[in-house]
Amino acid sequence: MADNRQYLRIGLMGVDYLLPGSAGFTIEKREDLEVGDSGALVAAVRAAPNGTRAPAYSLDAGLNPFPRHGWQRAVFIHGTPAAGLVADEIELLSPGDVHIERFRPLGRPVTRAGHLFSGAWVRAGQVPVLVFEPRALLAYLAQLGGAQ
Amino acid sequence: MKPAVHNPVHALEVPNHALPLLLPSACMAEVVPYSPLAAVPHAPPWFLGVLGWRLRPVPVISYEALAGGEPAAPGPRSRVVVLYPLPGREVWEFVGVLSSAEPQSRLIDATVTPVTVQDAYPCIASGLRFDDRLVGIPDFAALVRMLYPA
Repeated sequence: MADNRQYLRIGLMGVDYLLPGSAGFTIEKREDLEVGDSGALVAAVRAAPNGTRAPAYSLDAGLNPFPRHGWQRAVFIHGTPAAGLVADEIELLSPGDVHIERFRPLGRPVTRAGHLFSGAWVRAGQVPVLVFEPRALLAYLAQLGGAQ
Repeated sequence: MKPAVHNPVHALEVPNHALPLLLPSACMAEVVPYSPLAAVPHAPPWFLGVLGWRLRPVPVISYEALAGGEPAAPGPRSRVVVLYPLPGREVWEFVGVLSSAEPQSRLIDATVTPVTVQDAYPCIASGLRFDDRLVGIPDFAALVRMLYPA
């Protein structure tokens, strides 16, 4: 379980995103998941003892479905239903390491739950890192389909 | 003899490959060199990405793409014109406009007459002609509707 002041850095094909700890998320190792077929939209499934199943999607840097083979960990965002994504890199950042500014993407939201991002971490001389809006990310993952 | 100047307005002409924009200097926070942007997945083609400006995230738009064309690739002369938040927006909602080169200072006075601009150019309130060049004055209300749809 994440501290709600922490941020999780999620690396997807060289591009970083942040997930706020306030979302509630769990990091799972590959060996603790049911790994899907190679190249499938749903890379793995977390089966809970109560029978609920949460899909973990494999996405590229533009958040499009992308087959990924060598992943080791997945992050699941708490929600009903929960869902997650497998990542190339995952790193927990403490509140002192990150300073988030509010940010609203332009144009129409991609999901019914709103825009995918609600903030950004800007450091001098570096490309900003976008911060996911957890509910919108869950809605986006649900839109992808493919979950049993 | 020069004509009398009545209530002149200082503006910047922001060059691009569609229709140069004429923006009142008062609505600009800063003009900065272009630097790599954070791409925003599934953004419309006119929303180029996010610039880090004074440790703030600033979304950057391309007027070429807004007008239906291809966004020009930024080059070494490219600039980003950072605008103060548009009318009705939050105080932190700065927005950037990509400029293909350094914007040029212009003085708008009574001697400059408005001209009609084709409907092909969205979010333009009116046009002005400088020498032989047509420039567009943005319709900020229309721009707000485009950038921040309800």
